[in-house]
Amino acid sequence: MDSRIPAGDLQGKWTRCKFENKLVAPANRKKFTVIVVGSGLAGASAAATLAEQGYKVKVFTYHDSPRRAHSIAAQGGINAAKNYQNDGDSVYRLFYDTIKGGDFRAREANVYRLAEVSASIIDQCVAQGVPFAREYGGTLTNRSFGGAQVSRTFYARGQTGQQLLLGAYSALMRQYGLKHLELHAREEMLDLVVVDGKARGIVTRNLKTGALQTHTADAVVLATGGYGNIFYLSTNAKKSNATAAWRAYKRGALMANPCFTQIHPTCIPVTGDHQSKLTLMSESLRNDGRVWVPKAKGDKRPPSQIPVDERDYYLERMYPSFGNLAPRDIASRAAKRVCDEGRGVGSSGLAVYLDFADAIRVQGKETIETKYGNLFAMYEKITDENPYEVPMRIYPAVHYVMGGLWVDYHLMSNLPGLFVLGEANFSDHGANRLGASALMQGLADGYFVAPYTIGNYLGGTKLAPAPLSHEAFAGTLGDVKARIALLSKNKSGTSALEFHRNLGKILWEHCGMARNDAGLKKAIGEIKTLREAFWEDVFIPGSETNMNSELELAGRVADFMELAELMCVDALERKESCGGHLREESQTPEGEAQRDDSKYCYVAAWQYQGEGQPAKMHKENLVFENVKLAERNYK
Amino acid sequence: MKFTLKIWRQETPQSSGKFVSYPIDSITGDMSFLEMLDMLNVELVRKGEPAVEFEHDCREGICGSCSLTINGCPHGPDTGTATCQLHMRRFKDGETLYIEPWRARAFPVIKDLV
Amino acid sequence: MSAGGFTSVNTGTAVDGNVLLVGEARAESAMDAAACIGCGACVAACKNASAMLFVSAKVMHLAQLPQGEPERKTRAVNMVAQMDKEGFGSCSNTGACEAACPKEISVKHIAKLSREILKSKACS
Repeated sequence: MDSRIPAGDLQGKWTRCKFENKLVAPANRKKFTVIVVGSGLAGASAAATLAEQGYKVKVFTYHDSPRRAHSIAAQGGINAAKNYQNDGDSVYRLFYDTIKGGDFRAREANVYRLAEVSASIIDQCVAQGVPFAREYGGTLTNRSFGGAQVSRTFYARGQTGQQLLLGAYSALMRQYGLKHLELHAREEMLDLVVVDGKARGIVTRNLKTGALQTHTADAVVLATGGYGNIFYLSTNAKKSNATAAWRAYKRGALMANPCFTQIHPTCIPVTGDHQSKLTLMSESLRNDGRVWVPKAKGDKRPPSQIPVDERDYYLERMYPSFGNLAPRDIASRAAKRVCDEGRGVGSSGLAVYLDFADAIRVQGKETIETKYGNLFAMYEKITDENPYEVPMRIYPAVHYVMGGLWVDYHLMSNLPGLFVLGEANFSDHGANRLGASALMQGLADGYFVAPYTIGNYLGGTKLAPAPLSHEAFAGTLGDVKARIALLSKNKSGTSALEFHRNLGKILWEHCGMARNDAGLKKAIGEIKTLREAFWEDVFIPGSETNMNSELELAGRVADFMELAELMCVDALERKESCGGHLREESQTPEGEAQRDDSKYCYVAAWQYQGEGQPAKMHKENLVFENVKLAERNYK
Repeated sequence: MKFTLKIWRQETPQSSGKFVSYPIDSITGDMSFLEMLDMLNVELVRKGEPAVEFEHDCREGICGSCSLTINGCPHGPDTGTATCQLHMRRFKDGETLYIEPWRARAFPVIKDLV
Repeated sequence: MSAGGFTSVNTGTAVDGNVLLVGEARAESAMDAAACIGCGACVAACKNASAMLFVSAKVMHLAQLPQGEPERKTRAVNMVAQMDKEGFGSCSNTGACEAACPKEISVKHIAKLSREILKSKACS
């Protein structure tokens, strides 16, 4: 495991890396084929850029169109160190905030590069026509996000992800129109083909016809998003899954820090067992909304009848310098704590208020409507309550995973030729991601990092031909067929959806906002039992040779069942708390995460050892040469 | 709440489709329209019948995947609302709901409601 | 989209974001058009199965911004031609599309698109 971090000072690493990279001459690039799986921000931007450079690119998405990828749902914004607000921002400050926000569990070099290229992302998106919010004078405007004391977040109403994705999608479709890339829509990757130790292709299933196909390439890019949907209830789209990443893991790629999960503090609370997903209310709302609960336990009065001095604005009380914009892990934990104390609101008692009354009084309803109109409307549709009149009720929910496939500085996995971009890799956010940094990372990886490092790989590696007739393709295809047959063997039984829901409950209870030794061990046992029941009882009606969403879901749930166990094993092994990973055994007296840098200042990268065998952990020690390891303090 | 669902079932792009009637019970007002279909599908699978195919993903009105024509209206009766944001409280207990795919030559039906 | 729903700018060639000034009202108006989610409800609601609301939203999003200016004329003409080729019908101004649109995209974009086409034909 070599992280291939360039030598020298932090500021010069990326420049040096780009200079030392091997190049492929423009005329030779068309001889190389790159497969890109996933068409979200990272996938679309990488595919478009590689095609612009002249490589042959094949893009795969399970959606009917690349524009449906879940990046589209990101609401609040994208960070960049432009310092347009003249409030003291810099590349170094964005770097430092991100390292600290991640509770010192990310690589310095990767994070610095992310901050360094952030400004170019904004320029690129503006040039594509992304309608970012503007000042009256025509310049770009910003807002603040959690974990930062500067305004560096660019936004397009509450639909920033949509606008950025449409920008990347338009760049992709331009290359498609120019016949520089192939687009395979409604085709899902079901396995990775490894030839002579290198990633050389994939096996896909056409979701319309059920046909299985093999595809060969010189490099494979996975930009397949995160696996937060493993919890069943999350803010992820319903189809988001771990299958591509998990298949790569089972072919030898390392999975890093799988237990690092981000629980977002501001989501609409659960109403019942029927619920299929949780809806995020953007963190940007905490710019103007104030979070509170009643001071007294079990106070069931409507919020308007609770006088101000009987309210506990607990984030402002506990973290006066960051207030309502405390980072996500900290705000989530605080919400859980007040609800555990019996001060939660709403019928379930599992909610806190996010109140805009003061902001509306000071700024006027119209201003608030311009800033957050679509979010308020979304809230009202779901809850049937008007947030202009009564405070929103919110509760934490699974939103993002910092864990993912292990990659080096070049964003290449330990399997040569396999590049992993965006949320699918583990690289930049440590144990907690700051708001508005996911869009930044996806686009940084896709537009500005991978196109250079993939070129270096292709230019500097001897690649033997890997025709589809190579036995590895037939072998992998056979494995996929056998797996589908195994999934389809039962003649009656239960929908995969019900198993997924039960898996989610186990994980949320034992590997969610707080984790402990006994709970994790219990969860591992329960997951094994559930997995056995799944294979005995899952039933997929309909045919394999036609559109069949029950089959698609069952395949994804089967992979979740295995990944869930590894998440718990990873959480069990990491006995410290850090960022979003709170081990109840390791807390400060105030209930904050207590890191143990002497024992756990590393990335845990897990290697598959065969069916039924425990995974093997490799440690990548994290070296901090520029920032001092310190207790994270947002007070 | 109880409803009678008349759902368009069509096996392949080539085959002809028809409305099939499904009674559904114990629906609550805070269920979304697609959660109601999830519930129907769980019941169908338990009975050994093929589930109803429908397109969906983000379930928060932004990805543009969901595509049902409900009682003749694309995305159902509410203005400014995608199907995935529609909740059952919008309908009257006992109502009959006709659920179809988009109808346009440029959008051929692949299966059922997709 | 591949017929012109983009600006021809390769990665890494962009100028600083603040070099292109866009007034607040214009940015908001472009955003109104850009809010389209491409769901197809406008087509499904239209008795002619026309995709004019979708196409006009994309054209008018870019036509209102300086970044969209260089390819403004060809974009409008090519995207409408592509729509015709894919079997969508023509617009007869019933307004059914706007009523069905989950993002409440206004039919005024269709009128503006027609103007864009007229202008590009008159000036070419």
